[in-house]
Amino acid sequence: MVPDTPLRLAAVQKALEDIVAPVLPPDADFAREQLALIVRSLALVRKQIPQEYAFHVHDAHAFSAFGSEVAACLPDAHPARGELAQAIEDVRAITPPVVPDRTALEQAVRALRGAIETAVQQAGEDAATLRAIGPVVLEHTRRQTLLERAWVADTGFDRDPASLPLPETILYSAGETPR
Amino acid sequence: MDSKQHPTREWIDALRLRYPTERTIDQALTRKLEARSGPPYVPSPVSEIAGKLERFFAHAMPGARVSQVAPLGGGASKEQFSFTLAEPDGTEARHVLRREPPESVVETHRLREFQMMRAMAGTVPVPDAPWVDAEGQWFDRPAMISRFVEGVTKAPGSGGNVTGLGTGFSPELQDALGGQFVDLLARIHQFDWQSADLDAFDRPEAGSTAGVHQVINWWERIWEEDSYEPMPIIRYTAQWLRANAPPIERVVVVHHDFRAGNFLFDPDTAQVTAVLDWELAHLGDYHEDLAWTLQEGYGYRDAQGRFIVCGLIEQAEFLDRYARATGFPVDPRKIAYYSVMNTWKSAIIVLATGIRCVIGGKSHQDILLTWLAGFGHVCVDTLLQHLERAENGS
Repeated sequence: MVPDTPLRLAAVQKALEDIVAPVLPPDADFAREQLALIVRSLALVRKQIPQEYAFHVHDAHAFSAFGSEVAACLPDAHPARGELAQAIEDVRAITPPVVPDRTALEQAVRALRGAIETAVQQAGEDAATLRAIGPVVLEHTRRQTLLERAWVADTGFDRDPASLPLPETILYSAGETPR
Repeated sequence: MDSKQHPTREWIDALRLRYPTERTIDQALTRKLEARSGPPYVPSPVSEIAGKLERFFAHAMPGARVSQVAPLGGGASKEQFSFTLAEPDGTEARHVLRREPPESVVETHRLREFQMMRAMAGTVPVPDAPWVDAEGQWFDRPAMISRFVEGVTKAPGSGGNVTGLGTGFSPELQDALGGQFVDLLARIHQFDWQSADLDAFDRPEAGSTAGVHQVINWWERIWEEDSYEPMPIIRYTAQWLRANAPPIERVVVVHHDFRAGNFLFDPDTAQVTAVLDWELAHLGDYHEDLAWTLQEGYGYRDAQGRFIVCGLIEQAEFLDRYARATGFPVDPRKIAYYSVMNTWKSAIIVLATGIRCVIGGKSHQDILLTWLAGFGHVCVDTLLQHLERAENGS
């Protein structure tokens, strides 16, 4: 997925700072004020996005634990216990035990892609191996490109956007989409 | 750790050895890598550009005056400024300064562009290009100055995404421009380059695949230098291209980006006033240009399912008129081969070099380059289709 969202936002921020801000009229105080806030918001979001999912998972664990402690303080027959227990169970059922470090995950996957690329390059130096590896490379690329195209369909370049699935239907297992 | 952002001398030398290509292309790519660790792009105030122009013309044309300097929109690969030059005899004309950003989505050599534009003058309409600063002596970075040419790339109100992709033309404009479009390409390919001043270009041997391998090396080197996210399909295609390279039977000038959006026309007379964007031009096989122009992304299918090349002319008519104008045979297998190569190159441009520019904050169009990445994935999808067609011989 290139460019990823933080990189895309970095380009937006740079364009606003370098190109747009200098040409705002000197008396456009409100616009300047808004632009300064937009730029600062973008800088904030760029830092937050890589950690946002981990933040949600942290909340899931923290509030499950907290809810359990609250429930333990309630009398057994208290009317709030049942609903609270169910809410805790709902969260625990969909919360992963740990969140992988996003940067480490990205680096590891990039290294894997690089290793595959090198293998394909070296294998392709022999004509027979090139023919053998071709169908595997093409089939993987077909699936991967479908996701990439769906991911950026709103750029308007795709010739058949109506045929593209929603990215969610590929990203979530067994075709389940997030609720 | 992304080591490509801080290239070592050893890595640069190894790449040059591994991917031998044309002298001046090697120079441009090497210069890019040597400067990569340097600062990001910072816009130059108009007053700074005006000062550089004044100093340049004090040397190049003493007594000339520069005025009305202004940045131009568009230009995904180079910064562009328009200005008026008053020559010592009093004549005034608008000009365009094209200057390289610290890194560009297509890294090319200004001397090649300059020589090719001057060589093609009189064969097809091109902007007059009187001056080049090939080493960046006057403008900090390599630059070229050409005369401003009146005209538009698309009719007012017509559709299309950024950079001329998917530009639409009315039936009247199709009738008026379609034939000119083919004839201009034919004239480029018939040009007698052997007697032209093109010493910045290597001359591939006719009847050999050496020139094709040099082009593959050029672009695979760029992938190696610029890619951030490895993509096995790019390496697979490089190997496929090497294994299937056809000999160049007839060496011609290849424009390399001949399409709608890269020529200007007078909207009143519908006459082409200039063919633009010569920076990727080289000497090679005319099928490379034909396949480039025939790319799906530059045209559309009409109600009858016929492909309209660059939104201008139906494909069979395009190829027939080209063959009649040049007398050159059009080999569908070579079109298929170069369709694979060109789509591969397009993917490398937007998914490797474009992204690399943004990572370093190196260009004046970082925001456009992130947007164009969307086109890259469409290119990869098209690349798959071309590979399958070429393999099946269909």
